[in-house]
Amino acid sequence: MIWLAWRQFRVQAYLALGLLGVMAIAFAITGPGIAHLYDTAVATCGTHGDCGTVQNSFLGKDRFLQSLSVVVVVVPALLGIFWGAPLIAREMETGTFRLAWTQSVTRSRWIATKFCLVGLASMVTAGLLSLMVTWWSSPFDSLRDVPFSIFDQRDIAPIGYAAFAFALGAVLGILIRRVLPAMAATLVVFIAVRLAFTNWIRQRFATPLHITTPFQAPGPGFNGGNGLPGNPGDWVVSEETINSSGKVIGRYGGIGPNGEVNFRGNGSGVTYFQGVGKCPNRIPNPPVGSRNTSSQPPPAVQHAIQKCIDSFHLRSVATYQPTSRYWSFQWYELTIFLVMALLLSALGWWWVRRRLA
Amino acid sequence: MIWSAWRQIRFQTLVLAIATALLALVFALTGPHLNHVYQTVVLTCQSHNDCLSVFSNFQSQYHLARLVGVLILAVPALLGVFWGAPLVAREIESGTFRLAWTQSVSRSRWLLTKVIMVGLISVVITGILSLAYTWWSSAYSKVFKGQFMPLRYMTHDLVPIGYAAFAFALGVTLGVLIRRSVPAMAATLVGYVGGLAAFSVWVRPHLVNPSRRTSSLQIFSSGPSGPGTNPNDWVISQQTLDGSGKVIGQDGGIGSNGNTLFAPVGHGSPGTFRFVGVGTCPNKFPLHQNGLSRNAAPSPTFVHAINACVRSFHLRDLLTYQPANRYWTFQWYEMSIFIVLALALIGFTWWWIRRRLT
Amino acid sequence: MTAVLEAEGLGKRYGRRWALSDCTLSIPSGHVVGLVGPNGAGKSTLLNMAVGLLTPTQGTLSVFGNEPAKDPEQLARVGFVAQDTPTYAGLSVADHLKLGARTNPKWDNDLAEDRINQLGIDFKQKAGKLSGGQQAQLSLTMAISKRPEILILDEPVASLDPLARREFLQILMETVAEHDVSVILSSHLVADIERVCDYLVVLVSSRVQLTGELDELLASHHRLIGPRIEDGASIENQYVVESSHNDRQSIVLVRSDGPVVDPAWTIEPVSLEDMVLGYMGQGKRHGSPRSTTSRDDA
Repeated sequence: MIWLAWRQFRVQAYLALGLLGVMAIAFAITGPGIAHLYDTAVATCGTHGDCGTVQNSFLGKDRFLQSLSVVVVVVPALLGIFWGAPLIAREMETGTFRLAWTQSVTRSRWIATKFCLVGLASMVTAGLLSLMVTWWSSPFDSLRDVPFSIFDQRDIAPIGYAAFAFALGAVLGILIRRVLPAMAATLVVFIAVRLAFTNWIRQRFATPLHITTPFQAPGPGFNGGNGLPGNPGDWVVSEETINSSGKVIGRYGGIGPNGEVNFRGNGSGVTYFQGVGKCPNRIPNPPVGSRNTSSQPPPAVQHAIQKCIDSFHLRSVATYQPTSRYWSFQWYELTIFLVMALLLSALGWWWVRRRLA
Repeated sequence: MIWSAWRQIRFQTLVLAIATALLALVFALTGPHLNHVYQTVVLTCQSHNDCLSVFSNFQSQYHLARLVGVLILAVPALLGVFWGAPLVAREIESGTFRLAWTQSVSRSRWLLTKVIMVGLISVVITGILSLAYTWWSSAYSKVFKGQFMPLRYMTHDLVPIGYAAFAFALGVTLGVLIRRSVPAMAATLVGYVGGLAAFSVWVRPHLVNPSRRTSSLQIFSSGPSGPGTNPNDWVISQQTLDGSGKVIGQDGGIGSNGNTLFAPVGHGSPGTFRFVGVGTCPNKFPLHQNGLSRNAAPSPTFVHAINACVRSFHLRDLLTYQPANRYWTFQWYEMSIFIVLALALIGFTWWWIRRRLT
Repeated sequence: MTAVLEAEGLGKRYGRRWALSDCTLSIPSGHVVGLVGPNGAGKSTLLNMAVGLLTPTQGTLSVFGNEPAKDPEQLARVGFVAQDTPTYAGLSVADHLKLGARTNPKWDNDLAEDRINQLGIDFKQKAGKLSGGQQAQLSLTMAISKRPEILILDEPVASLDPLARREFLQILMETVAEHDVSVILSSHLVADIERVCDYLVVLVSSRVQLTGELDELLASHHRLIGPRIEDGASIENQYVVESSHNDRQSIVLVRSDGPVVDPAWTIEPVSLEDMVLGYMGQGKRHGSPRSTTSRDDA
């Protein structure tokens, strides 16, 4: 039975190995050079004073290979579509299941063997791919320091995605019994699940932390973040402005639904803070035709406005997941997707045994 | 013939049409609001001095735009893979071509009818999506520059239409050559992605002869600067040339990795800046004014002094770029090229079916 | 005589349509059983249930006294060739034999290779490129080489040309002779049944119309020709299966429960084809038959 499962899977396995091999070669040739360059040029750019240009130049290196990192996102879906969906559906469509199920091997053993072989192969493929890309990209990743943005293209999460996509494809193939519709359905469902995780579920793996700071009006040192937590690699889930009674009245360092902080620079008069109050304001008009997006009012005026704002007792709350949680989140996500894969596999197994008759 | 071709794709077309209509509806409902926000809040942010938070907010409302952009790029691929590849391959695989090709319709006519019908639907759907998406994200495009950036350029305006035609035609051709649906689908996916990638990297930068601009080199500036720089320009390369025209650096730096090797004050004898392969400049500024810690910016006096010395080397900064106003030229060229490719593929398939596929 | 297949009130429903209903059968071992009936009668359904590819909606079915496909031992006792003889188009003939060897403990590889050589099929040829006849032979070889106790064949020769058909049935008969294997073979071509079978099951409109040893059935059925009688009139000692009339004559197919009393009738033996067609006609008209089994204790 193992022989049969392998024989049917042979060509796809070789293709995957071939592609992995090509990528491995490309990475192996360029990787050490990049790591070396990082160590000698980028890491020491501080002592050389050329961080700006060196970092830019470094980030522009091997752009094509850098973009291959997106392959890690796409591969699980492809595995689900091309390895998972046809696994059983093809046999149903062509009638060969009538040959396979009348040898001396029970249906259960047949499906268990196929599932295990191709499922494991999927996980291994995704795992190797992720390993290669993670290793090769680590200098770039250190420089950019946004681990949560590339969460689903690195480390162990893709293994879970591959297992889930495969199981999803196989089960949809069992239910739908025709290859092409099963492939389409797998794609749609897989994308939906991944989107749900990325946008809603992942940020709830652990209760996020909060940092509350007094709200700061735009001014010198204003960086739009109103005092974000210290580590740039943290994942800021949301940044809200709340008033004294705790109600959310704005986001991203602004007030109001579109983040405005309504300064009206007219030299005299009043600044309105929507839904909060008003402050006297003596900000001069910006020079005519000025395109400077960060024209700062004079410090004294700024100071006065800030004192007025303080009287409203506004606070800026950043909700975030610290970088230190990156690995526990990877494990959570991997585990959840593996569990989903197992549940789907169980469903498929039961369906083939009991219902498909 | 037309009826039977329609009958085969009826259900799928319906599903796609509904999906497209839903997406268009979402666009129609949210677009005007976003435009309104743009007009009232974003455009006036400077006078309100809150540009940074407004931009952040605006960008977060458009978070979805990036995802939809990926969709626009993926739709041609999906149509090519799920509609193009099985178009003929499925019939050959399941033997139904024996039914289809022995009716009173010639093979060529059969192929052409199916290709034109399904191809047109693919192209039309992609076109609708692309134009709707372009309209919807127009405010976003005005705020966040970079119209030549791949994820923007390849999902707006005309180019997706060319991609749809190409992906579909490629699918049909590979389906006829490979004659089995699933391998043809995989091959189509690889071919589409590879074709687009190859075109983006090797062909597109040279569709029109790039413009060049030379200015004197300013170090400690990242990115192209100077009069006439439009953030919507497409910078293909930025090179540092020495007096004899040799390339000695890139991206506003000197040396192959954009480094400019300094020996700072305090690490030994009075400092000199050593520019690899070029010369040296004296440096009398202490560490903190040099801005040599990783994230701090150098002080303006320091930058001024260094650049005065650098100027004596007569280094030039060569910018190779495509100016922003060529955007539409590029769009038309690229769409036409891909449509011509598609037609060529269909022509080849037509010939192949008539002559070879016995 | 042990029963190789026993069905009791067996039925299979798809949605609202009954593909097989109220089927009660007891097929003895050591026979080559012909399962005959028009298309859509339920032959495939019955055979697929016998090998465990379908489960009954109603009633029971047992093969060798066990539930079909219950465990690997049960599966090893039954060899099956499905309709359209499905094979893996991408696998070669040699691969198929290896498939058989790896998934069947009792696989006889010498037998398989001998057969393929005798048939002149290239081992390296992909099954998808074989002709229809060769695919059918490959499927049969696989089923035989498994050394089962019963071979179940679902219309294996339906799409074969006459020569291929004859070769297939020939090999089948050789196998039966050599290896003492029971066979259940379905077909809608009575001529094939006549060639190889010694036990008959007639299935029409998803019901069993007739079963029994072929010789006995043919011996107990007659064709009566005589003066015109009323349609539906009964004849003493005879069970009317089917009758046809013209102005002056009636031709009646009967099963004889006793001697023919009325001398006006001319008695002729009936061919298998006529007998089966007669029961098929009756089945289509009446649905459920009045009496289905032959009496083998006469």
